[in-house]
Amino acid sequence: MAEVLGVLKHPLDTADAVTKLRGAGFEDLNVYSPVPSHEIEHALHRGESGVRLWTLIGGLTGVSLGYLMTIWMSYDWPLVIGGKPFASIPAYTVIAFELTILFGGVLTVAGLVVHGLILSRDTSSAYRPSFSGGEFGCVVNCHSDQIPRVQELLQGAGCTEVRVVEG
Amino acid sequence: MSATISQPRSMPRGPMLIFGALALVGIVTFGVGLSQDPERAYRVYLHNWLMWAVLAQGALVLSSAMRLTNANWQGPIHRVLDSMGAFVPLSLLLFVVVWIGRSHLFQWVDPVWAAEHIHGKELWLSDPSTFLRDVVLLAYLAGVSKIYLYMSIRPTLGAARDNPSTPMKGMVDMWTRGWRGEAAERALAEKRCRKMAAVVALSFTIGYSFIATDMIMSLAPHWISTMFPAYFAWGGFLSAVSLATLILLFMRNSDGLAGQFTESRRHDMGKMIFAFSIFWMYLFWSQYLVIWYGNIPEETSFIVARLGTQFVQDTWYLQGFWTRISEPYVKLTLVTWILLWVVPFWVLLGQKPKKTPIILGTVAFGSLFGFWIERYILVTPSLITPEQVLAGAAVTPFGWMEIGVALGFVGLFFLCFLAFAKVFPGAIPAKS
Repeated sequence: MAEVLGVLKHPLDTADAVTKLRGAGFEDLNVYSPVPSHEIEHALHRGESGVRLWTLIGGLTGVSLGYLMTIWMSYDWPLVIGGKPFASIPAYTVIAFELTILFGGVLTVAGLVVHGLILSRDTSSAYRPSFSGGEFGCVVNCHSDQIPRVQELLQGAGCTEVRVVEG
Repeated sequence: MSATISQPRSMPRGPMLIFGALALVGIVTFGVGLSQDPERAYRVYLHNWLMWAVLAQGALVLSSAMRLTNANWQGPIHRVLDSMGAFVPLSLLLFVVVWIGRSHLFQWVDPVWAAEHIHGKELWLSDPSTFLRDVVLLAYLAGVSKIYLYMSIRPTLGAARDNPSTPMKGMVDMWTRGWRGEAAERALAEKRCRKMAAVVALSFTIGYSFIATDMIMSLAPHWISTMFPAYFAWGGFLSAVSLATLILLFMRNSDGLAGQFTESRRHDMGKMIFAFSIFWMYLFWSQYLVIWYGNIPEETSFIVARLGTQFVQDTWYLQGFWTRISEPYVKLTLVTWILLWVVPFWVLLGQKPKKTPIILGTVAFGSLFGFWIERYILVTPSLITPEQVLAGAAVTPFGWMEIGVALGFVGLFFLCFLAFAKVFPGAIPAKS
């Protein structure tokens, strides 16, 4: 197996390069981008991120906890307030709503950390600091005999530099 | 932009006939209704006028919001919104009918009654000063809207101006006086519209706060809620988003719009319906919570007349739930909760439903229909109280008069829409 790196200057060119590579049958791709880009995301066809599940679970936990906690507390220490029932749903909706947002938000951040930092830890030697600055990197994993074809495709897509990282 | 599109076109015959017929149905129904039961006819009229007037203005506010936020994702969407705003001047004219029917709608127009029952409020609610104030506000809104539409549409009139055989050439010439060339006009329109957009948005909130207070809150003159104007105006905005989505879905394969209402734009409109419906419910709850908590008869009367006794004071018990839910108007009000919040929230939560035309369209239609019922619920229980209904007063949102007048308003709205969108070149489609 080999790793070929192409360096690009523009997100649209990068998306274009990804589309061309995928079109030629190279599916094992990795892109370094200094900015989030819908175009690159669409070109890569990565599917939906797992972070959304964290948000959903957080939100549902928050809303259930908000109601359960308030209702439990009002029956645990019953006090009649303003002639209302002990468990006053309208007032507790505010707490449930806020906890939905709090738990949803906190778990989204946790999901981002888990998916972005821990699960997708990158050990490739192709990375360079400029990919967090002003350049885009497109890394193709392929067989050694496919290297010339990949290089040709990357150059055709407008890469300023094409390099075999491992091979 | 192709040459055929940049020329004014005549109105499309089929839709013209359909909407013209609907408008006629509305006028005839209203006429017959007036002769049989004027109270009901004016009530129905007010309900529909409120729905469509605030919707048309709300559409221009969304168009303005896109300008203000410098959005560039919308493509032809803001042209559709501009075309929906073409109903705004007509809504001013139609308001005259509300004024004519005032004695059938508002108790406070009788000074003797007002002095006796709402002492202290006569200064605000009196005939003709209340109506005069609202007419001035609506005229101001129509003026501001027209200036905004003029600024927005002007750069697309270049080709029509140069063509001597343009129909309605006089008007086109008037709208393109001092033409600077298309590129300069576009740049100028961008600059001018952004300033005007702020004026449109602010005027809307102020203007329709007055309308909500004067034309809905005053139907139950004892009731007060400072949250209500914002809640009503926001409903107008959300209904405009829903209708724009529906129109775009219907026209997505038509002549100049083909391929424009892309998956990602559908996704964005879906996100807007989703987010704004949450905010609608949020506003409703903010208003409801303080009324529920304070439990002052003056305030709860409005909620009791709509949501029944179940949802105030000793509320939210399962005991007796079904009997209390059968109180007048309660089920209808709960239907608006479902159509305006429960369905949009749960259905549009995922990405796929937002992008799927049939699902997005169904939710948008449901939301629009929900608003029609919600406007009915805002107006009717103040005039025909639940006690009157229990005593045998017949009331339904789906009677012949209710449906006939509603169809009439749909007809008039879309005649304005078509007149603007089809006669003005470039209104639809527009270059993004």
